[in-house]
Amino acid sequence: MPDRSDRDHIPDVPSVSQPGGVEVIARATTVTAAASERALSTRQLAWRRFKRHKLAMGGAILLILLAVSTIVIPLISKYSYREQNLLTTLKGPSGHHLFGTDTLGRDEFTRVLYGGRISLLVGLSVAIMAGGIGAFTGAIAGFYGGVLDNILMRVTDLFLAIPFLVILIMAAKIFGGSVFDIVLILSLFFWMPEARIVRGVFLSMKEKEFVEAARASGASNSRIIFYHMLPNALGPITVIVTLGVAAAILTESALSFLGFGIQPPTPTWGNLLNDSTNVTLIAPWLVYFPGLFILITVLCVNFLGDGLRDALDPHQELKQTV
Amino acid sequence: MFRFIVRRLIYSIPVLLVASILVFVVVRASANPVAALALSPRTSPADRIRLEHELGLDKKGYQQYIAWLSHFVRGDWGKSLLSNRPVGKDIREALANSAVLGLAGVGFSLLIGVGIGVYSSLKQYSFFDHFATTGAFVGLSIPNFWFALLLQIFFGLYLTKWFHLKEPIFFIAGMQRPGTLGFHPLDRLRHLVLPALVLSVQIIAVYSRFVRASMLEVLHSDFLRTARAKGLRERRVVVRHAMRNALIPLTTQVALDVGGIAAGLIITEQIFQWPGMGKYFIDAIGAGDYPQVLPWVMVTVAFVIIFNLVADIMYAVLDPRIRYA
Repeated sequence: MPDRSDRDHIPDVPSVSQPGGVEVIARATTVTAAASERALSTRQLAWRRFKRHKLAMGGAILLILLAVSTIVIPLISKYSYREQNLLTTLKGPSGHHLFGTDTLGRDEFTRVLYGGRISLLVGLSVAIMAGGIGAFTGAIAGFYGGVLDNILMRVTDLFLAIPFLVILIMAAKIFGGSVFDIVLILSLFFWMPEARIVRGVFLSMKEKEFVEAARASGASNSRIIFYHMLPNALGPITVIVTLGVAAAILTESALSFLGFGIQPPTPTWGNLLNDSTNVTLIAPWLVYFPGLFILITVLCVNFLGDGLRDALDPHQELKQTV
Repeated sequence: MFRFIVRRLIYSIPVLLVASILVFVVVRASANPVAALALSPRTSPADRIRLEHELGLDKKGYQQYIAWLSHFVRGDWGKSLLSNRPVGKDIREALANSAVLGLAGVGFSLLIGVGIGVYSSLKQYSFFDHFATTGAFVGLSIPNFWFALLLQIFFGLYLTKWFHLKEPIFFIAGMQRPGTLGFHPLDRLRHLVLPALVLSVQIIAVYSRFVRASMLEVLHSDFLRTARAKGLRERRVVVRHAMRNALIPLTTQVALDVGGIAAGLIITEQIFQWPGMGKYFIDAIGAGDYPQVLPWVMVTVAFVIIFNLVADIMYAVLDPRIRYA
């Protein structure tokens, strides 16, 4: 559970919780306590708040472990992810094959970790690309306002109104199923929450003194946007991009599970599960492990995002996007 | 209010148009029904040209779109390339099936989600509250198709094995026993339970957090203190005063979710072979049956837009502080 040790000091703070579920009650006390010791930089304060969030710390550590093991898997495993052995098909988990073997006798353990490589890569790249598109759109819309804002927001609404899984499926069918294609297609449909949040931050920041000061000293619009305002919006952007990783991993796996995502023989958690659908009742271990990895990864990323929200963005109330 | 509704409806027309153009381009790029015939030695080039002419594929792209649109708005939604059945009728059936599944899922989620949310807010920071918070995280993080597979394994494999059942308690695929005619409520229910459960996991997680947050906000408001000061029983304070206000924002969320039913059940329906909109779409895409895809997308987008509007209207009706000009 998130740390709530000092809730007793301020019992009736109306904690408006995020759906993510952790309240920012500890904020006030942390800040004053820290200030009395010695002056801490914003970054140090954020790190303090993050460390208090046990689940986020745990999630971060687990994610690092997972990422490292997907990278070093060729060194650990004596099987390759595509090495078939038709004499040992559909064997249950054992000492030789930790997670059993699939219909072609391939080692499921190796395949799940290799799949993790792709799934994590896709999740991260999609979130970062979508974050970039969204931040840019939101920044422009929020900064300039008026007609431009109106147009950009209507485009955002349009993208939100179209059932995006539908478009994803159709786009994936046309453009094929390489990793790069899927990343591109997913990114095009993941930037809307980022755009809305960045726009909101920019709207509230536009009238602040430091922006006026920058303008008075002759900074151009683009300099104000990218050097003065965007760094101040990095907190909320980091949070939403992190949560975007979770959503992207889930969506990629769903897409690949339906057979429209990344195509075999490249394993991802989604298409490993797709492979298992014909043998669900004969070889249930092929269902358990890839799904468990998705669940753990997404859970860790969500905890991490929650911790980052507490740490970086204590004033902002973000809408849940997962 | 009336003007607001009319204006919103008018605004939604361009959205529908743009969506239809987008989908038209994508669909036309992804599927060419005549291309497959070109490979077949049994069709002559003359036949191909005749078919192209019949389907209007020899016209320019924008002419094809306008032809399709003018038929569509007049209610002629075309026929399936494969079955030659009118698309409108098939979509209506699929929509009804999806509605059964979706409403069952959302209804169940409402019951459980509101229950968990309200109780969590009353016992803030209790064991139950912490448990519900963690549970909500898991509910949001679990891939629903994986959860569906787990349920299928549990009910289809283990439960039948352990208890030597002739058939699963809850069936793991389909909407009714194959070959049955007519409506058998118990049979339908046994098919409905698992997909509805899969559907509700995520929704329960969202609703419980949502209700908890808005309940906590209301519980700390002045009018609740007044209600208690008047000497009302706690039960009445919670149900009549707190819940009535706290649940208003939820109606918006529910309306949006109901609007999404038309398109949002793709994965669940596919796994459980539920003959609703989602399965219809996947089948149509898989077969390259594009006359089915276009009206399908129009219907789903229209549903999203309409229920967005319903959400706003309900909010205004329920909460007199909200005024739309």
